Amino acid sequence: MLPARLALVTADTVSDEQLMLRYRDGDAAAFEKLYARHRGGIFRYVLRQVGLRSAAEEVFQEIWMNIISSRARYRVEARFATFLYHVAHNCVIDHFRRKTPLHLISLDDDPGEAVQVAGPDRDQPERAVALRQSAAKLLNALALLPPEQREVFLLHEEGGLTLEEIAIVTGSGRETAKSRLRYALAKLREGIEHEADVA
Amino acid sequence: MKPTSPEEHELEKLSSEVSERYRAGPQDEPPAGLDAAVLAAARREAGQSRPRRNWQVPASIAAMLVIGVSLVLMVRENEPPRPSVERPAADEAKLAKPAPPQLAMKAKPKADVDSHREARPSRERSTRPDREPLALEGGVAAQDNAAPAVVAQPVPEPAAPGVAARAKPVEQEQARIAESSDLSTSKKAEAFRKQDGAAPVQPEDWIRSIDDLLRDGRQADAREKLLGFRRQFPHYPLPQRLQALLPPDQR
Repeated sequence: MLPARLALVTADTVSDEQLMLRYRDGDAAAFEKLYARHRGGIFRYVLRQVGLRSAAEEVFQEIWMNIISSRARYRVEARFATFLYHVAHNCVIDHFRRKTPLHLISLDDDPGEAVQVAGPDRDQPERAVALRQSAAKLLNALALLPPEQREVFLLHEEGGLTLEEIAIVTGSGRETAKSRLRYALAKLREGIEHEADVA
Repeated sequence: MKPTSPEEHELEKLSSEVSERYRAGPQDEPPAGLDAAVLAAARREAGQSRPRRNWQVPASIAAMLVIGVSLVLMVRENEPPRPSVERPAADEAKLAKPAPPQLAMKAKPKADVDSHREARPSRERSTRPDREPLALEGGVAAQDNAAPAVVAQPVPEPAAPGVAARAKPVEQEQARIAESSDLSTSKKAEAFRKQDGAAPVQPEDWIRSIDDLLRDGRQADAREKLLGFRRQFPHYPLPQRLQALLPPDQR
């Protein structure tokens, strides 16, 4: 849950880059504002890819520690979001390198941890709002996407990155990023409709 | 994402449709404990390592200034003092003569000072190369030659009969030096010639010396000297005995 103090500062009009520069110069309050703006998006970006909450928290902390430790070298060369999601992209890749993909679906893990990605919450009542149901279906479809398409969708949705920025973060071309996004969106919509048909 | 083509426009439309449903889903967020940990680390980092001031630049500028100023001071210190007035060579020759005993006595403290200066371990000498002390000593010697009056100047003492008598030759010598410095250039040159044993200055002396040469049978030397005399004194009336030595057009 977002602390009330952090929720207030998100309405600030100072740019992310300015906040990071202030933090680089020793202003800890500027970092709090920056963190409040991006904590949710980064966490979901990680969680939707990693699949497990505990692992997502670990990677999430690693991302912000990298941002904190690299503050002295920070230069405004692109949008801060591009920089942040580039760091996040690298941390997620490192995470997958450290752990085998099978670990994600290991039987030793708490089954309740993976519900956010693996499918709709079992405790969710059937009579919940229709939009929320379709959102859960979408998350289910998202989990079934190829990793590259899923990442592009999350970068676009959670990070608000443009196709050019997505290309920079993922180290691919703009057309590749656009193609991946188009496929991802098409499959997600298809997944929602398919779930509706099954229901 | 700004659509730039119909294809991207369609993509944007699809994206907004999916995005609406995605946003309606659970907005997972990090736990409060994780927020606190990250923010604490950020504050710790900001407090511990403030952006380092670039101290190398001002420090190097200060060092350069110190080195530059000390170099200038060293060069000025080692520069030999220039004599304010160039004294003629005659004065220098006179000053090179041994001073009268009284003068020597008065000059002795100065010599003591010099010897003391040599004996005193100097920081500058110890740090300079071997050639530099020579230059310094040369400078001191030049200074001494340039201002001999200061060196030989008698200290005014109360009027005691013995002391006054002893100081008299010193005053005479001082007056002689002053007189010699006031001589016109030609007189100085004359004095120099006389000092070097060259031809006498007074015509009578000159003629006398020519007569001496004739008496010794040195006709050629006498003629040469007489020619020099004629060049120096073209209108001086020569005795008959000497006119015979000159060529007819110079008689």
